[in-house]
Amino acid sequence: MTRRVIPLLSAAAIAIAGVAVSLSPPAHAEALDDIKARGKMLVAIDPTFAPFEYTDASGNIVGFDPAVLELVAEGMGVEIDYQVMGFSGIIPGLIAGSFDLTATALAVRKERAERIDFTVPVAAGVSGILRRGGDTKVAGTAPADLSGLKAAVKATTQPEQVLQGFNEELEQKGMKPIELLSVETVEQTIAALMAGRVDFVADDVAVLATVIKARSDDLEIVGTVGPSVYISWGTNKDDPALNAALNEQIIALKESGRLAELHMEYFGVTFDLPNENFIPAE
Amino acid sequence: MFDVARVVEAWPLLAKGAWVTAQLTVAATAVSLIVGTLSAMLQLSGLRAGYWLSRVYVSAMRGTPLLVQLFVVFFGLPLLGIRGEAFLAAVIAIGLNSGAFVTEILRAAVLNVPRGQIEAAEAVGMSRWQLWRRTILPQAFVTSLPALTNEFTILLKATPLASVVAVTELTYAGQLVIARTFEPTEILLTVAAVYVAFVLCLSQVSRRMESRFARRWSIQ
Amino acid sequence: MLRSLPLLAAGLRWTVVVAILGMALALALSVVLVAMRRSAHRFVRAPARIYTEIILGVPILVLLFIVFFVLPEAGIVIDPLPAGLITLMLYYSPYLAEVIRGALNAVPAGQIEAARTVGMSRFRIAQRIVAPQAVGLMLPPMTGLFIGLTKDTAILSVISVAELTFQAKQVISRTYAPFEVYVLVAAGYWVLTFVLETALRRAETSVTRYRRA
Repeated sequence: MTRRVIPLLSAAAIAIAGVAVSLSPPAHAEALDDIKARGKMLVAIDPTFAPFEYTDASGNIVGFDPAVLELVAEGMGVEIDYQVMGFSGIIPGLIAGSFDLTATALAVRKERAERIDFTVPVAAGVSGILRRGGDTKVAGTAPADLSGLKAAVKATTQPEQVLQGFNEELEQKGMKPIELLSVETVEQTIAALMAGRVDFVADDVAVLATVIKARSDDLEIVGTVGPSVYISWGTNKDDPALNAALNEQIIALKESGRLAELHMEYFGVTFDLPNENFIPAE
Repeated sequence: MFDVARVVEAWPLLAKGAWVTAQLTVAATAVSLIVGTLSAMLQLSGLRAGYWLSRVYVSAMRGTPLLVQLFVVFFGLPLLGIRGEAFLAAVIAIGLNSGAFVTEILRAAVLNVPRGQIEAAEAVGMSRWQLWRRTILPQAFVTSLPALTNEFTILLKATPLASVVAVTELTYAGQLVIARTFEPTEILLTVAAVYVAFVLCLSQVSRRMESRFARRWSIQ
Repeated sequence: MLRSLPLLAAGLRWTVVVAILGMALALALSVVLVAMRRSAHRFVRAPARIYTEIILGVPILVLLFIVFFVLPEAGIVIDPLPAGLITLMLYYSPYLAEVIRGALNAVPAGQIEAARTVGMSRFRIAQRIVAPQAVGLMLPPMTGLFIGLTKDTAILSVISVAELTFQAKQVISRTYAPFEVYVLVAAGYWVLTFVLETALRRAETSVTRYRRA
């Protein structure tokens, strides 16, 4: 009898704890005041995404987003305390209030905007398809071209969801879906491509271009898929003041032309970025 | 095939990660031992509420994956106003998880302490606390040392999961290097070798402690 | 949230399948390891012992990465599901082997000698004398290991095996409701391990019936 009761009690305890956690809003003071008091902001980042964010040989976090964030932090008069973690934990952590913001490149999407606040866009991007050089099996970038092929993607990212969208389309047409291998880092998607586990990799084109430059292997970009997306950072819904403070700095960098310089430095192109109405309707 | 230069280049970062792994292991082991001991005492204290509290704790920790527990602690700490303490979150989650297994180990060991000794201790007028501190716990720890070593080896090997809550321990340090160099082989094998070395150290320490205890408490 | 329940249910089913296959494979390899460790030849015993020492020192996540990302460098490319099963097998077999070895060693040698003197065959001795006692001794620690294995299937989520934790991450990336999903997932694992523990305890009770006879 007792043996049965214990797990039941445990389950009840877990459930109650879970409900309690999920019902109560992250009850912290306004993050901006916190940051000012501490003199530093806690920034979650997944530095496995060159040229957006990566680590150099000495372990420093570098790339486009860190470069912009350094200027932003300087403008706010605070320091940066990086919380390095895998991408799949970042948005959940932000919602829970485990850190102040994330400066990892986030594709601005409607469902995400419902749970977190985006800063004004700092860059733009689009997903691309990468294949082994001359592998004509990957003939194009339309869903029909990719039907029945295997693809590696970074788990819980924009490109993964683009391909999942393709699969819904393919299923409706009665065609074979794309078989997805979802792993944790870009490097693992490339390893899967080179080992012949998959036929192509889908990720941001700037990231794929950096991969091609970094590796001697014969790789090529077939084309782009899905919509162009704005890339922003994220803050917790309860911290509008922090969001506004970040926006103020980013907009100043846009107006001074400093942001465009950084775009050229890291991407070789500049982007035309809006300061309002940048959340897509779909 | 195995390019040592890649290991040499990555070594400073891996060493930093190994140091975090060592700290994490020691801190979580401490939490585990303290919580495990208290929980075992609660369970055997004769207090009904204490018994149930301990049983529910053990059942919940044993029944769910550490990965999920880590997320729950990491997402739960901000509710208590604690933010940015990734290391603390990892120590708490891993320590609490392991503490459940320590509870079970110590409970079994305590139940094996001969009744006669407890009666004798009571007869010479020891208080309950003295009884636990002088008679029961020392013996329980000594007899369960091999099992505890085993448990803390498992704890050490669970530390890579801490990377999901922003602790850059050894395995994640390796992954960050691989993300830059695109060369997994040398780094992963080196990481594995460092863990094997850590585990060998741990069992050495345990063996020393065992013989030391054996002399001190003159248990044959 | 409700729409994601079928996805989580599918994940739970895969967790069950992976756990059962993982247990079977690990048990099979552990029997081989025990046989090797009990061999009269040093050259058979040594590899089993070295293998055990190494595996006992390597985290399962690192082992999984080695199977999935290092073996291809040597030309061995294994799909996610088999790679995950192989990892569970490689990781858990030495632990299981230690349990089996310990249980076999705990059967008093005198009983086996006595059985031999009354003329029982080797098979009979194994069946009548050794197995009933050893199985009763090995079941409790094995239960712990099997629960560990069941929970460690969660780690296969990082190589795209669509088990419960993988589906949880997918659902979170659409619903952005991490707490609710992880609470559900925790409950799912807990039910699984509870069923497993209950079943194995029943088995233990029936195997050790002789003790109460």
